[in-house]
Amino acid sequence: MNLLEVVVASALFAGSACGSARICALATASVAQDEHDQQLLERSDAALAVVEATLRQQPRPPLPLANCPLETQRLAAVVGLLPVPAGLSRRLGQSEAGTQLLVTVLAAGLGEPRTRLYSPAALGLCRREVTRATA
Amino acid sequence: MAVRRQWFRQQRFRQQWFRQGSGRRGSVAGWGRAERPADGFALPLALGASLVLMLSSLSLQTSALQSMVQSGTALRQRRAEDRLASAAHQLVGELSGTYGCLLALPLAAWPQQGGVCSDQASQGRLRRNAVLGSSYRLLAWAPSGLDRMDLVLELDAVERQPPRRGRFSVRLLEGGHRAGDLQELGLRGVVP
Repeated sequence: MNLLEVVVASALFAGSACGSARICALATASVAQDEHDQQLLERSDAALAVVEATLRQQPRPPLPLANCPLETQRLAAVVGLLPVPAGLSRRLGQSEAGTQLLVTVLAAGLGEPRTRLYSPAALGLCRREVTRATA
Repeated sequence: MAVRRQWFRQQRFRQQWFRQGSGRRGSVAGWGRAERPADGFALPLALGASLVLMLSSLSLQTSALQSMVQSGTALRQRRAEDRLASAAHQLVGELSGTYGCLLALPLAAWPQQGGVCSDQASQGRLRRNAVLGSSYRLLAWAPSGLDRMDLVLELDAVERQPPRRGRFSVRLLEGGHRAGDLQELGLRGVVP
């Protein structure tokens, strides 16, 4: 064993330890980001589930049923009062005909937002106008 | 003769003493050829340790990447489920209003008995439509009890994603003139 061998071996070990530490740091950061994204995904699931449960719990109105645009506006106001989980934001909208409620959940880590369309008529909460013009 | 024999004994004793002495001297110094550690052990040791370090860190990185891929897959699946559920709401909403005569009719009977409220083009649009930027197909609409209809929809395949099927159940009210409750039975069906 001479000095040159010791120096080369030390340099080799130090280099690989440094590279390994960097790779470990990258892996740890990506695992942490992944866990954060998973939590956001679960929260967005929960947010959409709460919206759906709220819509299902709405009392079925007595006959004659309200028209769907009015009912959709009322449901949008009800959903707008629901709390939004931390780290998420929610956007409410209506379809062009006003007969469907669009709920969009946005999260910074999830990239493209999640959107669900709810039709009050499909839940028995309103009646759509029976005219060919709306087809 | 006796003197000569004595001289030979002395010579043999000296040779033995020198032999033992040289061995003892080597062992005392600790660096005799037989007991001295091999030269150049540090480099293989460092190589082995480096290899272990790099392999373990790369293994960790691989598992992290795999976890990220799974998260991406889960997110794409959730979006597909969102589109399937939205498609069901869109379709049942239309069947509950404008095309109310089709609500209680099984899909196979639409062309013959559904002419009261729909023409061929509108039925075709109900069978194949789009929601939230994704096209879908109506695969099944059939009664599954006295006041229930089964609905099966298929979301078309998009880039790197297979077609997905969703199954729903719709309760009929007012003798089949109005949809009452749309429920998801399964959104994770992937077409083989």
